[in-house]
Amino acid sequence: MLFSEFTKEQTLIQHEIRKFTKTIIEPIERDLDEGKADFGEVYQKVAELGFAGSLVAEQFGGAELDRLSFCVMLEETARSCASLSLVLLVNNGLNAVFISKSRHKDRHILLKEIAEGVTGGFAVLPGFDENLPKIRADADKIIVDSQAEQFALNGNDPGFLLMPVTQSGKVSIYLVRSSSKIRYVPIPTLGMNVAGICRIEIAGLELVADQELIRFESKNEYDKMLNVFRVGQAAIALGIAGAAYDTAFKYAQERKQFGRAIIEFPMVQEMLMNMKIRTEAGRCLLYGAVKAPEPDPGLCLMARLFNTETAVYCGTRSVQVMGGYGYIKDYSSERYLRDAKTLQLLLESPFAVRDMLMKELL
Amino acid sequence: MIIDEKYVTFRKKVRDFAEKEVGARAAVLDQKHEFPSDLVKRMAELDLLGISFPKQYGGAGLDTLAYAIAVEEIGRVCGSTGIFLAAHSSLGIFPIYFAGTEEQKMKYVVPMARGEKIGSFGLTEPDAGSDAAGTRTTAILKGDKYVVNGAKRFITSGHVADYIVFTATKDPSLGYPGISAFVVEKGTPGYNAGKEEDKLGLRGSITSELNFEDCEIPKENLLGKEGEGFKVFMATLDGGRISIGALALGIAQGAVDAAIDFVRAHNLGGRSYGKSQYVQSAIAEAATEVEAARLLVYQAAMLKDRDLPFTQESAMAKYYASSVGMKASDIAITIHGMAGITAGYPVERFLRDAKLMEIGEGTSEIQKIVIARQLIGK
Repeated sequence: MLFSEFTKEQTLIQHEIRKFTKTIIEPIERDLDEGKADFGEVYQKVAELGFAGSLVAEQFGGAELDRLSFCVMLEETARSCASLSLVLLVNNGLNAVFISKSRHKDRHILLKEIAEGVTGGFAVLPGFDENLPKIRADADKIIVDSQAEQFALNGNDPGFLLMPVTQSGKVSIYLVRSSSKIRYVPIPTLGMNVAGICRIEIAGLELVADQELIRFESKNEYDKMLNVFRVGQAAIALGIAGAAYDTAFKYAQERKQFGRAIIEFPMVQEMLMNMKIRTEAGRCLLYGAVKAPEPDPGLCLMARLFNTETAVYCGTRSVQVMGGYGYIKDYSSERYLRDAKTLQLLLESPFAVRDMLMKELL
Repeated sequence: MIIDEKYVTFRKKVRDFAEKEVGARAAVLDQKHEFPSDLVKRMAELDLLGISFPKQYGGAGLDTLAYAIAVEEIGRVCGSTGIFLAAHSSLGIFPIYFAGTEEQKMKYVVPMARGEKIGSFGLTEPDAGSDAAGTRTTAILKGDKYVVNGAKRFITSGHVADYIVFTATKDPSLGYPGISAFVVEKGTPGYNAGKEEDKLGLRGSITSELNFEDCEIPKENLLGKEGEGFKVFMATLDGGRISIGALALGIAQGAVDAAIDFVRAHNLGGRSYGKSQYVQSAIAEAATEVEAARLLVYQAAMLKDRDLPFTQESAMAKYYASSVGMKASDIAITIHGMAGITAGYPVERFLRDAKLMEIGEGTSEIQKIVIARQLIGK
């Protein structure tokens, strides 16, 4: 493996998460995906290990991981449960990032909550015009009503919700504690089945200045803050791609057809090699993006695009190598495909990411 | 593409049914793993369950092209209903029509083509997938009966099928020459459909294990002669590939249509979403490839209808159309953005359904081998 020069701490994190996934998650992988195992219980165990607040400062009970360590943690978790990895990413790569930058009076409380294992939701700023919520300004508050579709991440009974709202070119992120004006509507998704991806319906939600966590003067500035999430997405993608490869590789060694293990056939070898090449190329891109003293925004966007595409590629090929067995739920290849495609579409469209990357390159 | 008027009329009839009756149910069938028995009855009423078989055998007396169009149109709205239709006609009925005696045809083909009975085909085994010569299910002649032992896997419509064509060998060490094809009827002692698979897609269709335990089958249920099983299933798969190609084509078309509908209904940053060159490029690419897949699928069907060799063309049609099925549904999801991964839209279902087309009835890798052998020689 390239970039193997992990620090002692990074190696330790990798080791700890591997031990955790092997003993706690692997035995219930499929049950977790199908909602038959208690996700909350697993998340609490992650919190006990200290990873719930991976990007939260130590003074608030967090692990205060450097970016590479954060990526290693996400990748290792995603290898056996991408949903769990995504919940960790939303809580840290979005919620903790925005809250840490905020001067809101409750910021320390919120950060402590995250580190203790409370999961916070994050409302996705809709990409399409007709989905943007309707906002009315009324004296010292604004009133929000959702129009068509709006989605949230970590929307499974969240302890709080961060909601970005755009008004005259500016983006404000509001903190919403429990409110009867927001309904979290569970919706079946292709993959990441227990990550709490849901629709939200907002009717007459009043937001006052006191709830504003942070304001960005432009959508551009807000977008730049999402780079931590994007590298996290790229790390989860590596985890899914790696697991898809390992599963297919093992199967190809064991499965015999025409008197030989199918791994001896060049068409199977080609699929496996292409999976491996892309995954390792993606690893270089991601580690390159996060190892620099100042994360390179262009590389972050490239890693996000390339690695999520790679995960879809590997998920698809993993199913293909396994043939009929890849298509059924007794094996995990089909889940890698579903999780990978889901991951690729989260928060923002790959088209939008390409637009941003082009701006960086220009 | 330019096509004879009678096919245009036929397509319209199937599309009306598909959109009004099948499309409305597709999402629920998928979510609840529900087999659409009522739609099977409706397809029988509309004479869609034996399209390419002669009227004297209970069919509609049309041809392979009409059949491909029907599978395409059903697949455009529901992969599960589409795979049922394809398996029933190409795998259930065809081998008996192809290799059966007149008596066998009257007994089995007629009720299946009329849609009164459901057909299925058992070739794949737990350890014999791409390598069908590795068949381990045995059929040993004892007196006037064959005694069958073994298991089949990934059998479409296994649980609901009344008549199942299957392959078995008199001696696993013989390879292809040992294999014969038989028909077993549901309810025959010693035969039962075992575990139902929980699958990535096509969740409204049934995929089963079949088990044979000292199952006694009358001697007259042999299809063709002993040792001709290879010939029967190769011919069956040649035709089956056209229907899987057609189904993949239908799913791909459904995905492109869904993407276009979505694009038309949305604006991005004050502009029509369709003005985005990303969207234009993706839709143009997918739509072009769908059209190319259609030409390949229809060409294979027309060759078969003219009794010309079509092995290479049907393998090309399946190989290409199934990859277009994946590409078009992947593009359609991406165009939908986050909405695309939710069950609120059909595109995520299209992707899950499309993946089987690259696997079932010969993986893409096997198709490439078939094509290359035709081109290069053995």
